[in-house]
Amino acid sequence: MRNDLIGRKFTLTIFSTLLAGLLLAPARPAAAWDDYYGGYGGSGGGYDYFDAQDAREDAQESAREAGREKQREEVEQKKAKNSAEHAEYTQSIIDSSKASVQAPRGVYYRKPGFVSGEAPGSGAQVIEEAGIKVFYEQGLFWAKQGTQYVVIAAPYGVVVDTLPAATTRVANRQGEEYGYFFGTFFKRQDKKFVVVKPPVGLNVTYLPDGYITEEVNGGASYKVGSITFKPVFVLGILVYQVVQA
Amino acid sequence: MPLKKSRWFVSAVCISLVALSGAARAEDKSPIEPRAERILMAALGNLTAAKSYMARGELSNEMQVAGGQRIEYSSTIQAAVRRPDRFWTRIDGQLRQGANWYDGKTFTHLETGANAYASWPAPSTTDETLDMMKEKLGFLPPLAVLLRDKDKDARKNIQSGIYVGKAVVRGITCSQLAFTQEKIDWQVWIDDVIPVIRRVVITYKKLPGTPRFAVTFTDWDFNATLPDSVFAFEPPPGATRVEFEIVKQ
Repeated sequence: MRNDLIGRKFTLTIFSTLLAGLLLAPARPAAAWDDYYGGYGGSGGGYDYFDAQDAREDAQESAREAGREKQREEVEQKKAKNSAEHAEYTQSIIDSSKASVQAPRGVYYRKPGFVSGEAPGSGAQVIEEAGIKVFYEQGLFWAKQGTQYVVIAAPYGVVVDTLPAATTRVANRQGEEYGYFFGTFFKRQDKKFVVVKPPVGLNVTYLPDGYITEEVNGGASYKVGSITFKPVFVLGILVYQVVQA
Repeated sequence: MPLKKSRWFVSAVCISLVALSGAARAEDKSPIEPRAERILMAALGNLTAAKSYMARGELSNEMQVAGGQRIEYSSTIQAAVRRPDRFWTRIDGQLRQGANWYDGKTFTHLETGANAYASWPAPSTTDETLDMMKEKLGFLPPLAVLLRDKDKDARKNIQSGIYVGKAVVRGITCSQLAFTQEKIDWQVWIDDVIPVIRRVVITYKKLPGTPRFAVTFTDWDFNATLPDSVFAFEPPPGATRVEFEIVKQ
């Protein structure tokens, strides 16, 4: 009897304890260390987190590489465009005048006949020439025509105060020096410069745009205004020699 | 007495011998250091011994412009030589674009940029043509000394020459030599393995701004087959024929 009672009491105690544990046990915590490793019950096994992270990083790197590739393409396109533009510009210079390909680059020059609606700058020298007002600025001579201004050929005998920066110094065999700017010849007169006709035999290394080609005795010659030049190799260099002025 | 006389005699003979040997040394004394001369002549000899060759190089011209700044202009050069009476050269660059042909009868110079050319009846050999060009036309094609059949001009005006040391040009070990002349100083780099010229630098020390010219040879071909067509001039379309000014009649 006593043994039965102890057995029943023992069984009851165990049962009660178990029941209490079930009812009072806390909920399964989130992010238990099973979850940290992806859970042993998950579909990806234990490495899903790293797979996802790798995939994210791959995607980000792909996006960055796509951006770099795009930048490289833009740089190449820009280089090709610049190169094509430069080649086109150079070719247009060569095509426009074979002689003036040797002319100083980047110099402001307009050939006689060029018309502008703007007046020469306030620093232009004003010269009275045969009753006509002529404006001289940086090697160019302008005359007013109605409301516009037109470039004219440099009048012989006109005296100017300064020469343009791109003026080149040329000399004949006698050592007489002249300043040369795009078909115009200057000679020093005290501290100023007078526009002159060049002597025959004087050599220049370029002609301005707008020269006229003539065939003389089977050879080519070039006319710039009233001056005729003949191309000739002097000491291996191609120059344009004054043959008539 | 005889002993004194013999002493004087021996002394006199010795002094004479020393004086004579000194005079002989002075007469043989070359302005060029022997090692430099040997290397230079090996390279020039290699060149003149070749029946034909082609060469290519990169040129630079450094000069002082208005304002004092030094600017370097670059070009490429090509040359073909067939001994004893053919040559062709071409320069393409910032300052000059031109070519020269010599076909054994006529020398022609073309200025590519202006598309203008001039021809001149020339002697029958390269060396004579170059001599006459210098005298009558006042100029020579680029690197004319390398076109010559004989290297007679190579040492003519040298005032001094030294071996500088080893140097590398485009990955090739060379011996660097330096020479002075009245109007120029020049240096040459010669390949240590095959004695060819790899680089030349010339400084024009008497000209204003001391301009400097340099050429680095990128290719030498001593096995080139050079037909007559290489040296025959055909005017490009639209080219203008002009004349040479004769500087000395």
